[in-house]
Amino acid sequence: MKLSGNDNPADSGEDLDKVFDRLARELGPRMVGIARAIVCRRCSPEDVVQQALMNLYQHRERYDWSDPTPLLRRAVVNEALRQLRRKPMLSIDSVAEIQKDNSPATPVLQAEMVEQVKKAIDRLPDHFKAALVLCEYERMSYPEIAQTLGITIQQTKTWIFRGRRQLEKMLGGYVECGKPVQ
Amino acid sequence: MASEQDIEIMEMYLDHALDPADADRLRQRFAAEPTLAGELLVLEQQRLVRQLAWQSMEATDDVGQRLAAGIAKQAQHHAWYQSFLANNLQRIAVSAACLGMFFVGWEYGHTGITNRIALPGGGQSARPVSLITSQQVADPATNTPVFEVSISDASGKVVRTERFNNLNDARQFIEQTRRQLLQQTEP
Repeated sequence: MKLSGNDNPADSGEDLDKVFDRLARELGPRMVGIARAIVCRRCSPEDVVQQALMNLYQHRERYDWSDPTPLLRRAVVNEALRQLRRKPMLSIDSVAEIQKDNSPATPVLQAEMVEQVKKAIDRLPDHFKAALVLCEYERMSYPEIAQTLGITIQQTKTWIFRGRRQLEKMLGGYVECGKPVQ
Repeated sequence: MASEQDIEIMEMYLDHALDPADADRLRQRFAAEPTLAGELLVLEQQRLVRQLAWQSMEATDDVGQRLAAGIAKQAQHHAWYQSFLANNLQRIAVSAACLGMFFVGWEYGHTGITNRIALPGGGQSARPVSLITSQQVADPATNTPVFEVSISDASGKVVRTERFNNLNDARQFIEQTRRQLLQQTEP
């Protein structure tokens, strides 16, 4: 999401409030997806995104708001990793959200497979999950991921590669050419 | 079975992270090595499954609305706080100063305020010949506050000290002593 015009909305409090409203409405659900991929069932992904938005709002004058999406993405990833370090526990709302995902409309086998993949993702180290979700879900390039996570490009490659290999090992007997083993 | 290195290169290819020359070389290998092309297909299928997992984690639009409401509330709170600070900074500073002075007074008031009554020497001298000093102190034996009255001579030497349990007794003593000293100094 890019903002029109060259002015930094941080100069005007009213404009920036609108930016935050749009950020929350338009990118919120996707950011919750990123947060959930990282925190899994250990804390509420919605709380992570809310806190990330509030952190940005409190220090809004520090940032360039011409392109707020990378800012928010970075804030969400950092907040998710920070909350994992603080409180490794299961929240009621994350359980509800996960249960909601398995709607009756989803084919049973596919839902089962997705559930297995999610469980396997849950077991990955937090930094592998963060790198993977940015790569595969956000479709970010390695340099962008490196910048977001504050690591080198080589380290980014290593985390993504190892994350995928660990997932493959965990799911080896289950996923074969994208179809569950019968 | 592809080697770890081949898998890494293929993953980079699928991530669009290979430079064009390397990507071309890999495509040529796919054409020449069906096993490698099959491995690529497996990697693509695994990605599709993971993609489903990632997508299933995305929240619904009502979450976006909740987040927007939350940030609006925070913005409102922040604006109120800023305006409160701007409008009441002077009052807050004065209140804090008063409170600070109160606590300083409280702390130092424990040792009591010294009252001094100077009795003039006879005639020409401006120097006091006697001083009656009273202060509230803690009784060393019982640690309770008592009123101590000291009488010192013209050289500053304390010639008499009395302690009283209440202020009235101390005042009576001071008044009596003052009268006696005045009588002595009068010609």
